[in-house]
Amino acid sequence: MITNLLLNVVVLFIGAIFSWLPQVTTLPTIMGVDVDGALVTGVGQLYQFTDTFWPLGYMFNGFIFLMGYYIIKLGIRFLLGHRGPAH
Amino acid sequence: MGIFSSIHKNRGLIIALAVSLATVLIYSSALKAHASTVYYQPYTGEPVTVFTASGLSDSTYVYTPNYTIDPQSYPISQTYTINIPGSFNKIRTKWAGGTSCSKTEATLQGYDGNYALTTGSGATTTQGDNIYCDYVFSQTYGATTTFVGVVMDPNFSPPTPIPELLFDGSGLNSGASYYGDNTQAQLGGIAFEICLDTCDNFFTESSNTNTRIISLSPANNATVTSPVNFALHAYINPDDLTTIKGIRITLHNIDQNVLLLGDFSPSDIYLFEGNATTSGDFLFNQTVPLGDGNYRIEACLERTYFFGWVLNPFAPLSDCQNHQFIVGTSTFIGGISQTMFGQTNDFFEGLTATSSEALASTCNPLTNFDIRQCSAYLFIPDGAGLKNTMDQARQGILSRVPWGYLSRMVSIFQNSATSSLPAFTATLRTGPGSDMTPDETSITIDIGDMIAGGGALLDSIEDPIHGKTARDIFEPIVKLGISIIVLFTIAMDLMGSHKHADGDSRQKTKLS
Repeated sequence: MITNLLLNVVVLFIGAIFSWLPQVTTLPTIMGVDVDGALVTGVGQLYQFTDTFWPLGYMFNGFIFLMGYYIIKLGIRFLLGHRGPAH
Repeated sequence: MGIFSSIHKNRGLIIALAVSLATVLIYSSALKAHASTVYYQPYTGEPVTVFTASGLSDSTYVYTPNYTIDPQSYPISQTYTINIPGSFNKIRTKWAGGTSCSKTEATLQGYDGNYALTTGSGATTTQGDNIYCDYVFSQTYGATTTFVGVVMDPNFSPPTPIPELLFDGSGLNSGASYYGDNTQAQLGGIAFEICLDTCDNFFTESSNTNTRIISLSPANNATVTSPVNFALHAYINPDDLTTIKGIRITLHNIDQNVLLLGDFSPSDIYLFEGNATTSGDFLFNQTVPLGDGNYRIEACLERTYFFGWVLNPFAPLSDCQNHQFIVGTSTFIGGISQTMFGQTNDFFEGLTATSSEALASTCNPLTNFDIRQCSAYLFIPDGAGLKNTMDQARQGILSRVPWGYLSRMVSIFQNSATSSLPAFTATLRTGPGSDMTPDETSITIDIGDMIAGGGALLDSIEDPIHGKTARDIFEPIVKLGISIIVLFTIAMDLMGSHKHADGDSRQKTKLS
């Protein structure tokens, strides 16, 4: 109960801070190129390919997961300033 | 100075704000308003209940009884009858699929044995996104005690097979019907509205459009006979399509798997495993012959995970339900395993309070005080509440510019929908021809066809003894290996990052 309440308060507080920012529904069109559509099609074709060659699918997922970790680490270092982890 | 440092310095102000918001949240949840004339009978033998406050049960199917009215088989009794106050001339049910309303009739059977039929077959009424079957009587009846049923008229339907008619007793008003007895194992039930001229359409106090599992059968702790009918009813909100990986229904043979890890069990039967490509109601129905013993059926709406087990913070939590049941007779070890699983499940499910009333009654020092449950209610987060919080975080925070672009990319990668691979056409000149009409031919190279053929070839190679393909054998090993490599890389990176980035650090130099 308390845990749920605290989490709700934290989410509401952070959401209120950033409520003035616009929401993103699709990726932008850059120089006439629909990046969102291209990425959706490309990822779909990649998954079609990995449906057959399934080891590549797991490798790709692993790569994406690793990149996600590095992005999160960058974000934490940005937020914590000099207390953040070293390179 | 980092943002977290600023939060630490102003923690007093933040706590005061949190308490104020908490007060608003608690009292704002007291909004309840419901007016309905809906009745509901979960299954044969259960009382028909008038719902005037909370919504109908989510775990419902609706059954259509025998297509002849037979007072001997379905006798009038207190458990079947309802007391209808006021006047009425219409019965309404909510159609969810199957045969049309016109092939059914609604009946009223008075407590004294007299009954009345509707003047004709049910009429289809569409209001908004909802479709109803309306049964209009030729006269208006006063307050009465009666038995209400909906039957399929043989004059309108072929004798065999009887087409299914889906009614709704659930909050979302979707259910599956079964030809036969409306037993507890079938999770049968019917919801209907008694109206005078106009029905108010409120089968629930609020329409629940959350992505969730509505019902699963066989029921938990049921004892059934072979063949066993498995049924799942789930609802997928259109907004969750990109984060729902798929729907999986797994049958575990507890007797064979009691000493094995679930993921490595060779005896699990995947009754259904597929992607969720369309929103709305998902209905699954299959009959499987099983030997006597103890089983567990698990149905999951799988959210997008990495490697099948690492929580994706951008996606909400998976929704899973487990039902244990016995086919025929229970085995000794299977019974013990089921009991342990059930107790563990009940322990954690029972230690969450979703209402302030439940919390208050357990933590009241004057009555029913239980320090264990009170502490658990206070601190163990409720699953549904946690899910809502994460949904709000995704929509309110993670989708904002500029990190919203990253979230959008993540959701694109999470969407497992496939696109056809491109085909290329090459035009070749085959002869001199003429300047106006050169001899040409074209060759089309369809990568999709090439890969599909290769995939079919790979899947056709099976182990002659166990009938498993190369993928069945090597996939768990590849998945485990890649998981270990990725986690090892992350661990090594973390181990080398324990020192803070210090701009004033001085390097020690060794003086020779």
